[in-house]
Amino acid sequence: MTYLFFPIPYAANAQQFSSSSYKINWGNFNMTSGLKKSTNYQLTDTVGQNAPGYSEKNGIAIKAGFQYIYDTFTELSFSIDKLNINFGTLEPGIGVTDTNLLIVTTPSGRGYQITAQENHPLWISPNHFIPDTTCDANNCTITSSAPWTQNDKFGFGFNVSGVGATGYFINSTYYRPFASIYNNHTPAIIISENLPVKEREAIITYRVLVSSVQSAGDYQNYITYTLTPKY
Amino acid sequence: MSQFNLTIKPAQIEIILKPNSTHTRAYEITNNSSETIQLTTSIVPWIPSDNSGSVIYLDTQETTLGISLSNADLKLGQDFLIKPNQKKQLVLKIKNIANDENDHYLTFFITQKPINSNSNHQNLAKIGSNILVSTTNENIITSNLEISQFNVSPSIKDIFSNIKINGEIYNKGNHYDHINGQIIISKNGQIYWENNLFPYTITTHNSRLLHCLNSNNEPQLCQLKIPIWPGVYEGKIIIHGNNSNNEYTFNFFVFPYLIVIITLISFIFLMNLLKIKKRPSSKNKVC
Repeated sequence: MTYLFFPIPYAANAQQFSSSSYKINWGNFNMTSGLKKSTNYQLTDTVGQNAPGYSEKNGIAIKAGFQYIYDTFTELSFSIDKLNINFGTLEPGIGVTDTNLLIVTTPSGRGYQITAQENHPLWISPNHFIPDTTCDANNCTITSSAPWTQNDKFGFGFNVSGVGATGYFINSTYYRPFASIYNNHTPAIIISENLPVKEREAIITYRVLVSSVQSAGDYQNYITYTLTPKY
Repeated sequence: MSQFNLTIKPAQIEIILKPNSTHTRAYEITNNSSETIQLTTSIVPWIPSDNSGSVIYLDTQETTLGISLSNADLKLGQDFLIKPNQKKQLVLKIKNIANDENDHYLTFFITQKPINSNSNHQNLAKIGSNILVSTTNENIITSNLEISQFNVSPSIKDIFSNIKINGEIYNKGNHYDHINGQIIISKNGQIYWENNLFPYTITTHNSRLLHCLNSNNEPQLCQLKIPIWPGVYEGKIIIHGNNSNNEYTFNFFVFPYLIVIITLISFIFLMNLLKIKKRPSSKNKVC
């Protein structure tokens, strides 16, 4: 049995169960509702809904009845293939990469944006850290990518490939550092599209490159990815 | 199978609240992954950042609206678990307590948290649903949209060029609004092409790019199909308001430039060829 609790503008419409010791007020108590399909027909129904349909009072619009959840595709979905990125043992002067696969589905009529932010640089402690990359020509920032291919430009950065990332990363040699909570950066947009998408994929490539004087130890941080629809 | 896979529904709500009124909305959060995840909730205000619906989040969680969760077992900001392939309904209550004439743009965030403290270096994900609230005493919010940055491209319009109608729609009003309008292109007094505008939401004192509504109810560029018959075309963009319509008229001229140029070049080439053939040879002249 499915039931739905909606704010009802008139108290007289609510159901009430009561005995000498208790009283329960229900906004609504459906008998059945949902989407029914056959080969040729599709039906949505709500049986038992108080005042089904669209109603408006005191500036609040209410769409009562389950039919209204089918009127538009309204879901926003976000998936990340793995949450732990392990670069293993790093060798000085040799860049190591790992990837994440992000998949996004947006509601009808809406684009999306994904922001990213690290909690702090890769570090053992604040005094023992791998710097965020500044790229080959020291010209990439948390909002602007640049080529990073040289093996003597040490640091940690990322590239994104996919339809939504072409405005941020020209090709797979372009990297930039993550915005950092530690440095009071606000999350930076890394992927966005103006049109709705279904199961749109983007690949994040993390790259780390250390020098021979880098202290040995476990360097850690975490990245937070935030998906929101365009309004 | 993804380690994080979350769905939120609805992805956006838009409401108008009179003083002291309350709106309650149920959100459905689905964990599509194969692992139990720990989540928490928050509300963060934003401002629009461009004309395509992107936002910038403000470095505060303060809002003058009264926002809370109505779930019996959960408060805003409290952690909760969702098992694999399970759903959770979160009931958000928004109350207009400030009684001001204002707009409030917020996002209801569902944020993943590591389940155990040993996982404090794992990547995390957040998913948000936009909330647009107009707080007002008015019974009807007056629509006040206007066209800006308008142009029809390209500047030289050939019968085989894709003619695009570009522009922005600016909201001069004090509350968010939706585009409700059409583009009509006429030739010789007859409607040649018409299309509804995509009903984007426009925040107050901001603009959105002008897009047309396609057959799948999705936004697309407002573009005429080729070939386009030569002649003068009159265009009209009508923005429907609740009191009056706002109309913007324009016209453009289409000419078969490419065909004319090719014909002219061919003609000149042929003429030159004929001239060469007709010209008597210099040897004959000498003789």
